[in-house]
Amino acid sequence: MDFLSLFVIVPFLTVVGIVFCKDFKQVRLTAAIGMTIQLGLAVALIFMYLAERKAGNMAEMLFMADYVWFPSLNIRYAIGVDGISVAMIGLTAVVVITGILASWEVQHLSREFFISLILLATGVFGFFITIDLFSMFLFYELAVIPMYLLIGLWGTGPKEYSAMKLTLMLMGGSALLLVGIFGLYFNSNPDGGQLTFHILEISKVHIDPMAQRFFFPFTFVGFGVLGAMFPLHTWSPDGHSSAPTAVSMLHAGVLMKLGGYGCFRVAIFLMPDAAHELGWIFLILTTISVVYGAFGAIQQKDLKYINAYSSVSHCGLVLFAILMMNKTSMNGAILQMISHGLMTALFFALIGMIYGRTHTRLINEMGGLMKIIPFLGVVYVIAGLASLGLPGLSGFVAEMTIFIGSFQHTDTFHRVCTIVATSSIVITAVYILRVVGILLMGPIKNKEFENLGDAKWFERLSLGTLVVVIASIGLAPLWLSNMINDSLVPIIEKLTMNL
Amino acid sequence: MTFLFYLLAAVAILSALMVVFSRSPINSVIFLIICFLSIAGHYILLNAQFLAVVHIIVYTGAIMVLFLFVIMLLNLNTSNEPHKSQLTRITAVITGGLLLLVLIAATKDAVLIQAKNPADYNIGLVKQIGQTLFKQFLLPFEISSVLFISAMVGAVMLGKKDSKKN
Amino acid sequence: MRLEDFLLMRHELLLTLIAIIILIAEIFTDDFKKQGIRPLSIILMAIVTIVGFLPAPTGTLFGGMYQATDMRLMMKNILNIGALIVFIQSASWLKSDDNQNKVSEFFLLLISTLIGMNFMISSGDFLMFYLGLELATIPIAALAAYDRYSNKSSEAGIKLILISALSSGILLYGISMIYGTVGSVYFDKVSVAYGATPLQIMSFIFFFTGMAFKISIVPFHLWTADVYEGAPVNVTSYLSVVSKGAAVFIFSIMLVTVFQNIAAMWKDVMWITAAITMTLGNLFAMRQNNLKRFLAFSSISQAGFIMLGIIGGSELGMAAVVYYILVYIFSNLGAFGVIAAISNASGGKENMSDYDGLYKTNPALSLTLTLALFSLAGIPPVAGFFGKFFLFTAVAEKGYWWLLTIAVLNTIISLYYYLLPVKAMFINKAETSIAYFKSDGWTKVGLIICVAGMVIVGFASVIFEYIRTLSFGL
Repeated sequence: MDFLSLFVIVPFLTVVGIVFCKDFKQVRLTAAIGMTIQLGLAVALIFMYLAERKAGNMAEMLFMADYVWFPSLNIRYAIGVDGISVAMIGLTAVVVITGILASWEVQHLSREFFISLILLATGVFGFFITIDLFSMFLFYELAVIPMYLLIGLWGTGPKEYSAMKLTLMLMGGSALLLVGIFGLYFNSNPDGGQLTFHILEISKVHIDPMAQRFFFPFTFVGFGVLGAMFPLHTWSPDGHSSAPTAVSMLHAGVLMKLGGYGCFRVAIFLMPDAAHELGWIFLILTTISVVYGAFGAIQQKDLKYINAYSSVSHCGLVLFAILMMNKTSMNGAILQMISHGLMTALFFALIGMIYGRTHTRLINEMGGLMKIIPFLGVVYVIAGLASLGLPGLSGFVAEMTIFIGSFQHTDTFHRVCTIVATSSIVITAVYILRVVGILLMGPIKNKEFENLGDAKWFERLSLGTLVVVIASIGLAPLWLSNMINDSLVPIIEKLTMNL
Repeated sequence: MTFLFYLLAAVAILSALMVVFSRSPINSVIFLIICFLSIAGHYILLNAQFLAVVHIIVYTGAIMVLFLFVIMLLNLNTSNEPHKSQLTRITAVITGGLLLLVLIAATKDAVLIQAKNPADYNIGLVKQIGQTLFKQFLLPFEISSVLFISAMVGAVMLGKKDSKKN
Repeated sequence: MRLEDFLLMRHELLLTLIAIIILIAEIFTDDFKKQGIRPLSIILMAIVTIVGFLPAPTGTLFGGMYQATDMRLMMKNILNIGALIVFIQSASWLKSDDNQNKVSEFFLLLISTLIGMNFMISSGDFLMFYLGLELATIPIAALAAYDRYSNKSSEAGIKLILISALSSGILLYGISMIYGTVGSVYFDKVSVAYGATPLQIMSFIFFFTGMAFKISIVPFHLWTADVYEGAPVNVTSYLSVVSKGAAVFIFSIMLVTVFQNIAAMWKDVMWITAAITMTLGNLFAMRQNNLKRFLAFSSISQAGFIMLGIIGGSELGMAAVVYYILVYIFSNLGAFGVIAAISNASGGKENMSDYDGLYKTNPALSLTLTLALFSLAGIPPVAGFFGKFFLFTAVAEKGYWWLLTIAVLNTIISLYYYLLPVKAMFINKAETSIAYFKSDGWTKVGLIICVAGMVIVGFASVIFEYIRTLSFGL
């Protein structure tokens, strides 16, 4: 029994436990207990990882385990983590438990709701621990498919349309990804030896540049769909706005990170030549994502749409930073994934809670909420500030690192892209402050809102956890960025090796 | 011999064409019988007496009489072909013609294989066929018995009276 | 011929034996005792299925006319499993008033088609192959017309018999050309002597067309939807899974053995037809409301996916095809089993719109159907994912990257329509959804086997690895 597999086994056992629960109180309690254990495991993993590194274990991946699954095709269930996956696992654990708390009062088919939610989480955890392309693909699809029911059943608005659109686009991405995976597999051993799906083994091989040129776009676009890359981001606003609170949190907070992580771990790491050669196309697209998402957010009146577009912009920044392909910017990309995951989860949680009280998400219909529900209001301001990159919160650390890294490129093309992307910071400030102004300040527009209750204990717990994590990363980012930096070393080596 | 072959072949083709072109179904059936008879003649030319006799008994005798009965019972002696649109006809003619063209072209260059036992005049006799059927082709012969019994079961099932409904 | 040679033919002989037992039982039981024939047939079939898995010698009989290799035995076992599940699923349907006086005929006809399929799979020459094929199709036509008082069922029967006669005619024409150019009907002799003369290519095209009708490959698929819709659900499921599986098995065997000399040519043909079959099947399936028609078109597109495994002609591809058929049996029979159960309980409700809100009233059936549809769509963690993955691996192995891209995009289209029934059951709200009902024991057993199959066949890698050791290729 290896430690990492627990991250898949615990959610699975939780699901089994939920099946046998009697009523909705037991269900949510089981879910919360299971995911708290998961969070404990994640924290333990971080400490164990840091201890290993401190003890001088400089292997590329730690806690590795390898089980042969289909010997004839050399398909394996191989797991292992480096600093990046450890950080992502930590992020996932935090977002999942806060998501469970935020959906504390989902009573409609609660059993099915929590099962789907935890299945989704299982897929995400599995994706981050595995280092075999086959199991990675399996977990990826496992994470996407519960979304359909989650949005379709518990969503709001045009939920059926959004659910179908989201599922098909994401599965479409995974279909393209499959082509890329096969491309890697069949080129993984040019000497005619045994082919492999194992990422580390493939990374030791120099894949034929012709093949790289063909398969890189498949892989990058495949993951890019999930990372909301322009013009394949359209599932994101519809999907997020229709999804129930916890699902939006998990989806924007964690699932979209699968895209960035995959682009980084599979597309760029394994096909560096093509990444250098074709990166510029995707760099343009991601720059458009960054700016387009920010402008889109200004236009919107619905809180969830605003946040969905801002997610497009922020996730675009992740891919943008990855494509800059130097150590600083990549470090920034990982930090941005974590920071965005946390604050977007916070945003969606807040929006869900506000909507649960006011039953509207249109900012024009609300106003002066700060006086009625001060706790939610204050947290909203904190989230907004993190989003626009205020120093002391996690957003600042991430964006700063990204742009410092990006400016290390001195050629005109990269400079122009960087400058354009940087402008998104200003636009972000505009839409965040606009929303905060209309929503929280000013007179109370609607008399009915005057007796709304402030956050309940589970809501406070959920929001508080997220705020604490955001602030602590913002105040003490070094341990995290060092952990990521260590793991970036072999990747950067591989990227610069064949230049 | 060669003359006989060409004569029978001409009769077979002509009668086959008449099957298609004649207006009345009864005439069609009569021409079909002629067609089958001339093919039976071919079998005799090839020294396959048994096959010729079976062909006449089964096809010309049994099946064609059945056909005639059906036509009489359904009173189909006047022509009432369903109307087909002009486009369908043209398409059918063109595709059929193309298939014919390709088939002719393919057969033109075909390599003729050598007959196995050109000198053995006994090959088509009942005794020979029986020997082959019960030795070499025993298994297919037995399978066809299963086929017949299942066909019978199917026919009985479809024709069976429903005990409850009456 | 020695006595132990009969062991080679044990599948066929056992099936013939149980057919005779059922026939005798039918004769010697009165109307009251006839109900016993259902469990009797199922138990006999279960015994045959289990006995089929026992290790047995392999070899050839009748001068190469009958061939028993490990792979062919495996194929027969897979078909036996499919037939057994269909038997179990039909049990409650056969109990109804309309059907109970023709129970033994149902089993007899199914068993005789199974005998035909087994002989077809074991065939070593065209004569055996043809006879087996006929035996496998003609009784099905009678079964499609089983529900005599329904016009649609009669229509299905007559359509099936006409189409199978037509396709057999085309097939025979091709076979006669092969015999004409080669001078033998034995597979081993034909495969050596087969060249690429125009007449031989023509003969292959006729042969391919005949088989394409049986597997319902576009553009020879037009009969499928009407027949599937008209025939009783259990017959449809048998037709779409077991019949199709058998045809695919022998087709793949023949392509890599008999027609190995013209592999380059049939690969091109398969490339195009596979791409068209997948795409058109999918596009038509999107528009269906009747679930049987829906599954008919889905099975057409599945046929396209199965062809992907054959195209490469590699050992891996053949293993993937056999494995996929196994997975397909469990998934499709799972879907059909649920549809049959609901159709029987609700008086013939087979439309997708009837399934609105089904999850609230019948959660277990809804979950089974969802799982089956996910498996058909190829979504983890059910077995369909693994099946599709291996098929795609086989395509990628031979470097057909564009075909692979077409195929993966088609899985997305198929996902769309496989989600539609899921949406109906879980998300749509209905004024009057199908009321709760309790399925009887047989139906439950049938569905449990399917669900267990869908879960186990995928994760338990031993099954795929075992098939892989048997597989054959160019």
